Amino acid sequence: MESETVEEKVEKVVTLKPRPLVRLGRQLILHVNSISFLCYVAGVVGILLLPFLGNNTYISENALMPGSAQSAFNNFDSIYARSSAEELLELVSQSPDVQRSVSRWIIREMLGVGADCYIHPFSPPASAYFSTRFPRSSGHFKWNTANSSLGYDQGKQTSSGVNMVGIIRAPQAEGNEAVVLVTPYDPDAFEQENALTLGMGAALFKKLSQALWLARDIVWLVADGKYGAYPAVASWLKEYHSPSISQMSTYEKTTLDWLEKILSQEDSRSFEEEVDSQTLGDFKRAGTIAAGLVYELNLGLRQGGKDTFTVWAEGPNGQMPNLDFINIANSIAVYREGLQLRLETVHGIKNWAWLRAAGIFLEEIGKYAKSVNPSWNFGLPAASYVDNMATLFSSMFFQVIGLPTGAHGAFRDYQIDAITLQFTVTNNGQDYLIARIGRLLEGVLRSVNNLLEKWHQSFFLYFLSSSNKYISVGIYMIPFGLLLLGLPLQAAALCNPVKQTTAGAKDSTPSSSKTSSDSSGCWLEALVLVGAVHLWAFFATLALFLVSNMDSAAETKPLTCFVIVGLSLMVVFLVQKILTASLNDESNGNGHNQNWASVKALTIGITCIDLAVMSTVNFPVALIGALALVPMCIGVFPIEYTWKYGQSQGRSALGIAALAVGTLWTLAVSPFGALVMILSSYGHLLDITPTNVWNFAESLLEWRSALLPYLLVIHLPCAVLCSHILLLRLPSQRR
Amino acid sequence: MATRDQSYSTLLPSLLFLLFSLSLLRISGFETVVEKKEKFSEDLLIRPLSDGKVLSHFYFKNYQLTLGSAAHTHVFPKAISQLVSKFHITELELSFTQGRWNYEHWGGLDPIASLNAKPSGVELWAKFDVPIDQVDPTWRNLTHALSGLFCASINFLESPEGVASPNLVFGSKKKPGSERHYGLVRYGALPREAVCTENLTPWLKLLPCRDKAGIATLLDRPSIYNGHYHSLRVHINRSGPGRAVVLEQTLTLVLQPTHIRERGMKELPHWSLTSLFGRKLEGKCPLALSSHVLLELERSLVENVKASGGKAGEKVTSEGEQVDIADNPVFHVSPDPENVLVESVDSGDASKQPSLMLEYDLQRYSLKQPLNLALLWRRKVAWSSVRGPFRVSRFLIGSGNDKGSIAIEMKRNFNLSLQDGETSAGDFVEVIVFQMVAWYVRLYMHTLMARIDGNPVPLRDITTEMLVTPAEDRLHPAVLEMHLKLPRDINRLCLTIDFDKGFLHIDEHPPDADHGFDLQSAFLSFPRSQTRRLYLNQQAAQGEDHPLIQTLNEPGFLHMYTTLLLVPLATPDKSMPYNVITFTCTILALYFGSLLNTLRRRIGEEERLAKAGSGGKLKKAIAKFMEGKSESQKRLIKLSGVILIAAIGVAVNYVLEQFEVF
Repeated sequence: MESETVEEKVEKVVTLKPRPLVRLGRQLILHVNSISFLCYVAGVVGILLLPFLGNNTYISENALMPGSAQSAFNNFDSIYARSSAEELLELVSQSPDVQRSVSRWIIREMLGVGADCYIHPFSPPASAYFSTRFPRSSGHFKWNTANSSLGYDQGKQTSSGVNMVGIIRAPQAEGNEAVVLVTPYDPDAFEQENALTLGMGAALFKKLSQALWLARDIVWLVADGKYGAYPAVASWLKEYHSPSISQMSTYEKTTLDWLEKILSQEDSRSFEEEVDSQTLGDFKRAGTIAAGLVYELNLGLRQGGKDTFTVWAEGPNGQMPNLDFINIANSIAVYREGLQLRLETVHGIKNWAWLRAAGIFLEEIGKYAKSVNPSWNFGLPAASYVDNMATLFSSMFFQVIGLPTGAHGAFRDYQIDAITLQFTVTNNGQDYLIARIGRLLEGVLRSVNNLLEKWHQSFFLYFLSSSNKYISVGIYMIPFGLLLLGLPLQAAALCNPVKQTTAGAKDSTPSSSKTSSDSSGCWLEALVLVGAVHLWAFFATLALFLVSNMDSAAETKPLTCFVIVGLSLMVVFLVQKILTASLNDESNGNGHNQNWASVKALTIGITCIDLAVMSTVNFPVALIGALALVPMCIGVFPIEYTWKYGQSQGRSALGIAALAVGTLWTLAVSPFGALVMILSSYGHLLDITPTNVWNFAESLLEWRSALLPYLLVIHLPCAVLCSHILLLRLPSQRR
Repeated sequence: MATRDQSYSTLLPSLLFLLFSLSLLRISGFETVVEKKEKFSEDLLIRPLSDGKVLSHFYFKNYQLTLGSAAHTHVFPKAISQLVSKFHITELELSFTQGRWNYEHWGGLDPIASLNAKPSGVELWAKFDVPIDQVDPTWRNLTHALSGLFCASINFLESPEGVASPNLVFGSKKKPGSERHYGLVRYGALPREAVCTENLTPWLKLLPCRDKAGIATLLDRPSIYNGHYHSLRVHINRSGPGRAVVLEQTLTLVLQPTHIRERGMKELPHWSLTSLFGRKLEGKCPLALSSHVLLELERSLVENVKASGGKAGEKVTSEGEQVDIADNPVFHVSPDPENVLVESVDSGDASKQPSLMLEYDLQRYSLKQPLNLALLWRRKVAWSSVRGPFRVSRFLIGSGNDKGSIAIEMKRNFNLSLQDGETSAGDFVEVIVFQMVAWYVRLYMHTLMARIDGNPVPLRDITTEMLVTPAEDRLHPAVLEMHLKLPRDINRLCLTIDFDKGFLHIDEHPPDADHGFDLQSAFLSFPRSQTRRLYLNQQAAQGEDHPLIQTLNEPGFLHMYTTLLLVPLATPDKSMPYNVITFTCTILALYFGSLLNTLRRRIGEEERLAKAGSGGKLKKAIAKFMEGKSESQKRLIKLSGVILIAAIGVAVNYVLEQFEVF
């Protein structure tokens, strides 16, 4: 820079020296291609470096004081939990109606400790897609759409579910806040796991009812997992927060029916005496819900010789609970109970060869850096790097799909922090392990109870790369910003093409060589085209929504939607042609010379804004979108242009390679290319049929996942516009 | 205040004792005079509850016939008489409560529950005998005086934004809604005030014997603050005949006899005075005219006892034959009571058993022969306390920082017709609802809606009277008083009103604003539900000796409070002021910098300067030096310059490290 100014001085160029900012911009635009390429590479490298950039977790809110009090849950309680589970199993084996006997047992337990108790019947979820089962311990992400819809058709909707709720009123508190403990169970497949979970709940509930330290009421929600735990918890929360007062009578009627079913039976004379059935139907509340804790006990084998448990935290659209919540579970587990917290990873990521290679490479770099300066100690063993990346990618994967990973997601809709803890217990009774789990749960509840405010410390926007490392929003936004940085630069370069003033340009700028005379006309045309395509994308989204609400047969729906979308695309291009033609007639009528540069600039600009907005809605979706769309937006050129460039004298191997990659990338990311790619690589794994794809889309719609708007409103128009640019013809150079 | 008390009591115990004995002497000398002018009595009522807990109600009544401005008092606390005369109080009630009253398990339709079930925290109402324009200043002064007297932040009630002026409820023992107060009553509540021994100590100071003798010796601090309900109440009444001042001090406790309980509902826990309070009763307060311990057995329990011991066929007659009510198959009470009072059941229902009151006169007990009342359960019985006609709950609809609505729901208990039988004059139920809402919860009064059994009902069909004071920001709260007349066969009434959340100034937030903001309890009064429990007294002349029984016998009306609610408001993130300040300052600096730059620039001037080719002297020198050199030489010079600068930097760094400057 300095040399240039000096040169100018020496040559006594009496031209107005531009401002430094303008000069900087000029330089940026001059080297836009290399800069955007470097930014993209830096962004990708930044993502790979995220595990190194994570900080150690710490408990930000001092009031939580995890583990500062001795837990009261002891071995007697764990024996109680086990014996309760056995009692339950026996009850269930004797009785034909599982739900009834379990409900009676729970009511008796709840009333026995002096808690308020009631039942909450709920109607089954309106759509089968709500019953999507969540990934369990095996780590298989099962969509289960076909199975669930099958079960749905078998007339299950006639039977409503029923939750059992018990409330321990904190003895010395005002009673305007509550913590919810959720234990889901499945009455249709009641096995030892369910019994153990409920027995544990009963033991814990009994212990908590004797606690004088309670500052918040404890609500024990025994969720009927007939349709999955999520719908049960969601419907209870809905009734809790926004009861339909106008339909109270129908609710009361169902409640009474259920009560009759549960209470009045042949042998229940003594039961009726004990139970005050009068208030059992009242929907009782306990004030503002401060936190939710879901837990399940599973039977399984110990993993790696350690007693582990899994935390699930991803809510709808990747909303996470307060980081402190996970931290207290982790710190109590590790420092008090000797349990290991595990974060679930999607099966297979750890076997990715390129990830291993990156890990080994980074490990070597770390070793080298350490040998240069012993204080540079950022190396991470390759194995743990792969673990961290797998955890990170899995978390991103769960967030991309936008579905909550468990019943805790239902709390997130009401701005309540909640997590699911999933414990694995071996089959041959380990009482000490159950006692530990009980102490852990009690400790977490006590810690939450200590906090007499809503969660406002610590982080809500973060990723966990391992149980004690987090990557906060300030760090993971940097790679994303780097990825996106190329887009505005490119758009600016296309808007204001700058010619190399000095002779001997090293890089031939592929920016449009002609400065159009009638720039306003071509901008208007480009605006019409881009606007029309985006309108069409909105229409396609709307069409999906409308078609999914239609009453037609499930098989015809995807076809209908496809036809509508395809036809509308044709209409859009027709209308665009007509409009453009009329515009051209008005201006100069020099035929069809659509300026691809302005179309590209507009596409890039809108995509950039879309991705930035999407990053606030669902970050991983925006990140993957940026990874896919940025090279396409930057690298797309009309094929004719590529062809001509390849034959011109000023061609270079680098330029040809860049153009080829851009073209191929555009083809790959465009809807048809993507379809072909997925079919060729994963076709044997996934059963991809139009019906399944349609079901997937519909379930995304049902769960209000941000993936669907991304695909339809951002990705689709961008891909269509880029394909359009690819096919555009260059204006004839010779007039 | 509390620490001062302690030092006071530790420094001057001997002096206290001297004063104490002096006053004793004085009383014994002028007994006849004292009896006329001032009276003090103490009672303790204990009632086993159906969920195994025990209700203990301490009742101290102080009576002063005349109120002279500087009159000397013997037993009556001078602080109170001064308070009454200075602030012209007609009636006043102050309560400190910890925990919640459980209307389902502990009863609602009896005088003890109706008078002593109070909302959490501090509640104060007072009725004044001053001109209407003097009421507010008097109230303000009163709050400060009480704040000092009871070591509580009652002075926060001086600001009018938390004070209501109810017209239909509070301030009289008459039937609620039957008269208007015309602005003479003030009501305020502090839901989050913590209740502790520092409130109990000044309360005890008002008693002539404090906790040194009599029933108050039972007040062992750890055990009474470990219970499920704790309500300290002071009631001053001057509205009686002859304008005598009556001071009632009550402490209502619900204690769990033992923390270790058997699994399930298999057994009810035994209890005794020592297990509850860790102490025995060693005689009465010498200054008290009467001193009784009463054990109340509710009618449902008595029915159970009768049913269990039915074979024996005993009867409890009004003469109080000593049947084995103290020792029966269900429970055993020791020692035997001196007297059994029987409730008069005036309805013709013969199957209904009356409640019983077992009476112990403390005069018979002494240090050598202390009273340790104990109850041992012999088997488990299920009974229930007398519930009110309705179960009342109040809740918020909506979540987060969004707007929402407040709902008050009343559900009829199934036994309405039985309970209300005595007063079922009309074919409707009367309810008075009093609700005070702070200004930052902005009520939309037009959205007030009533639903009976789920069907919307026009308000004018069910209200006889509705008084609404809309809120004014930072000045006073919204107050809603409704007198409802509901059909008798009503199952459920639901009142809803929408609200919006206001914004507070940064300095208006309390220290823990993230906790949320409390909404005061709603107060419901049922003018047609009598809570009187008429105990027949075989020695009618003794009536004066039983102030507690007198209170139970007085006609009273059912009152209920709902629980508190927590409204989360939008709060500023006070943990990040630094970030906010730096962010804002950066943006401001950028904005103003570029703005000033643009304003100050003159294009013509710049061009002139550019032509003049001005530059620094160094630059000129460099240019001169460079003149005449070839292109490659220039490059070499530049490169060597860069290398020179880098070398200097490395050298400086090395020197600094070598000499350990840092």
